[in-house]
Amino acid sequence: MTDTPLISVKNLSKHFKVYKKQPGLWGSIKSLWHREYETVKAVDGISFDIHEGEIVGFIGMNGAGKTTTLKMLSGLLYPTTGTPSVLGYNPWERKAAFQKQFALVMGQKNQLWWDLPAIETFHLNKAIYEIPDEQFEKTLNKLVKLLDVEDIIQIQVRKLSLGQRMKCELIAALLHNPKVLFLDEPTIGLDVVMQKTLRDFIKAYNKEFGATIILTSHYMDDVKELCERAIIIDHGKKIFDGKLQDIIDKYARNKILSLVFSKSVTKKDLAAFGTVKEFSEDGTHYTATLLVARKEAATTASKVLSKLPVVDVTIEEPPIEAIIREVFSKEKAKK
Amino acid sequence: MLKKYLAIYRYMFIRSLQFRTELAIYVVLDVLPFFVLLFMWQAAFAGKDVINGFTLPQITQYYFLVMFIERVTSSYFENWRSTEIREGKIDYFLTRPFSYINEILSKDLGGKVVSLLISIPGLLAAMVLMSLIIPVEPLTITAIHATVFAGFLILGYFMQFCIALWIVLLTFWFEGSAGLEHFKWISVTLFSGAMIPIEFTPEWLQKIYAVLPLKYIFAVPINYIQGNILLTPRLGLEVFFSFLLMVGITKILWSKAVYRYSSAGG
Repeated sequence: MTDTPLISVKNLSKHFKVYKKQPGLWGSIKSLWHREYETVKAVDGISFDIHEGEIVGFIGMNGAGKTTTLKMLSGLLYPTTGTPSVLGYNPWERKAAFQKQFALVMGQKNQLWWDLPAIETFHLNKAIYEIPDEQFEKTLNKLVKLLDVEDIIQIQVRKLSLGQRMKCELIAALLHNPKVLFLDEPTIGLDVVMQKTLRDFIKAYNKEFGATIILTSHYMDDVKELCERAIIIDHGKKIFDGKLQDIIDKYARNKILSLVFSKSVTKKDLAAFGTVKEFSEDGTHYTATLLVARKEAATTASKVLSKLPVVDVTIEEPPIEAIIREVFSKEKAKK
Repeated sequence: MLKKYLAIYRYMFIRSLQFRTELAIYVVLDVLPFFVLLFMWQAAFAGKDVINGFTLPQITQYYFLVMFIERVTSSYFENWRSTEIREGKIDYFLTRPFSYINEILSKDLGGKVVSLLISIPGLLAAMVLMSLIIPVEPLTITAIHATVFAGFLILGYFMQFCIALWIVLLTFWFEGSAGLEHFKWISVTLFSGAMIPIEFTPEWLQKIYAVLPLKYIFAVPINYIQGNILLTPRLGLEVFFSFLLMVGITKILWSKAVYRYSSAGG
């Protein structure tokens, strides 16, 4: 690892001018001669450095500015202030030499040719990136094996499931062996098993190719498994940058225990184990969620299992939103 | 460098071939209005031999040439390309070592070759059929004439391509482009001589016609192949510089447009 950062961002902002339409027909007619514009600060003065080989997680709620930041780092959007540097290039200049070294994958948008099998898009990308035959074959074989998609790359993309498509999207984006990879919600909408598969793959790719990766996600599990470092963005501002474990230790002290009982239990019974967050019984179904201390989650769960008539139990991470809310309120309180 | 665009071109070619029924229907739909137009002219010529210096066979010849040029030079990608930009779907091109404009061009050319292969034989058949009902002035063409005419066609294609591209690029500023699309259609047909020979139009329109380069797409090549005008160096330069100007405008529009891209969605 060298000391010069691979990605360097200083005081980066993107402001959009948005036109506010009043609802309804009358609003539409009025908007013909008078329009009110509002400036939305999608990204508002963010700075950070990322070094070679790091996997950094961007965490934030919807509309926090994660994607906008990635788009500026990719050269899609022209920053209102600040000039990001990626691999020593200014992304906005869209130099071919730069574009051949990075890839942007968005879970919400697809690059594959809808009507053709994925393999056709792979060949197209080979032509676009001018990948030599040998390297193309080698990389393709490796990626296809890693993701286990031998059978589906010959099938028309529109007939694939979301998970299969995402795997092919990743392959298409990685054929040119990018050194820098921006993943925007790569696991969105996927089931738990597929999320895990993709996570393992991203990890393996980072190890094998030493790629630097920025990942945005809604799922705490994604970030927890992949990233040592996390940057939390809220309303376009960076509110935390550091070891993910620190955030978890500091702000996500609890885990969530979801319980289903066969018989009625009292709230009091439950309160002995942790904070009761939800409690409901309608005569046939008895469910509850408990907040328990992170370190004691497993022992508490086994205690509950032995003492109460439990049918089902799951231990979950708190949702990302809850953690952010916590971080945000505490960071604010500090100031 | 060229190889990647050839790859796109090849895919578009394959894709167009999948929609041959649709293509065939479009050919018929495109030819029909011209037939209606020819019958109108026939009615206008009833009892007259010459109108504004044109005989009926000359008029029909004019329109057949218009039809032919229209087939070869026109581009219709504004609609879906504008939608593509508005919906933020061009991220793919902007993040890869690949030019969006060249992509549009390769795809359009790929589709064009297919549509020409299908429409030109149909058009020739229609012409033969029509000439049985309405007299058409026969054309005598030399090899030089044919070559220069082909040059005009190629240039005409690029001019129409530029104009269609402007409509697409204006999407970066305006929300919709359907109105602009119609505006393009009206102005191109009116000021290029595609709707009616320019001699028939009022004087104010002829003045605009003289200034705009649109005449180089239809009226000038037709007049040339009919032997009414010669390819002088002056004309050649005029055509060439108009073309350069259009390419220049396109480049400026594009460089300004990308600053406004908002990459919606995702």
